[in-house]
Amino acid sequence: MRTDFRHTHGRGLRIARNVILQLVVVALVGSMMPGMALAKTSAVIRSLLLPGTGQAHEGHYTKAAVFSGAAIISGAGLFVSQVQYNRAVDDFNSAQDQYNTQLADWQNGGVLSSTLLNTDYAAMQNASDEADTRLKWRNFFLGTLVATYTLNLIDVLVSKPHDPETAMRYTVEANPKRVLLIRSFRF
Amino acid sequence: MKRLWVFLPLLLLAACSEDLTLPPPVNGVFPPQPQNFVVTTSDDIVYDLSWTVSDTTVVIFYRLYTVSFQTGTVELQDTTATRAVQINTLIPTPGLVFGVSAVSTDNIEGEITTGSAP
Repeated sequence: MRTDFRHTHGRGLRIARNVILQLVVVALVGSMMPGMALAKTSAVIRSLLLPGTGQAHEGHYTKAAVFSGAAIISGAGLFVSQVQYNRAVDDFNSAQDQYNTQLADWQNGGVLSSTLLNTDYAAMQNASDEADTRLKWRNFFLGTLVATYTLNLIDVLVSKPHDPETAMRYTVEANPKRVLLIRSFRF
Repeated sequence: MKRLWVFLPLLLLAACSEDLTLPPPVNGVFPPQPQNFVVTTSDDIVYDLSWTVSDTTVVIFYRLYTVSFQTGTVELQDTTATRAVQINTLIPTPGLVFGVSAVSTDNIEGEITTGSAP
């Protein structure tokens, strides 16, 4: 049990270290790339940390709300479904331990109760089905989170900073029949 | 493209799932469940129990229980190789519920049949 904890702990640290290193590399590469302003690099790093914040930094508040909302919902769904999946796995392992204990007693000459055995087997089956369902939800939310991050990064890389001068403008179109005042938005 | 490596931990998480394979069914002789379980008593002290099974050749002995539906507990009282026993509770115990199960030649205990005196 202690070994498992250390493995998990070490893996978490390695993942965190890799993410930080990648952020530093992105920042350095971005700042050295010709044509990429420091403001754009800053927006990219913000979007890496939380989708939508880069867009907000560039003034695109509607897109910022959409990306951050999608990321928060996906992240919350991922967290909840992961917790529920872990709980189902714990239930399965608990039932499996009881099942295996009975089998071990039986192999050592004890009497095997088919009633208890069937109860534990049914508990294992239920927990396994539950874990399958939770795993599907977890992967769904993981997929939406990855998609949100990807789209958010692509968007912040290709979009231009918000220009208030061109964001909302009026144009007039006139022809022999009518005159149109057109109000256009950019977001 | 290097930026997309940030997602690598998330993709690893997707591949991270426990192996929840169900074990194979137990290979052994399962005994038949006792039928026609009859419990009689005249004084709530001495109880006569009898039952039948469809195949006696796979049964090596029977287990006798008292069942409490209020607490949900089943307590082992005795074992016997015959299909008729007499149980003396020493003190009057009205409404006692008994259970009987068969144990096979592979030491596998079958389902419990319950019954009480009318």
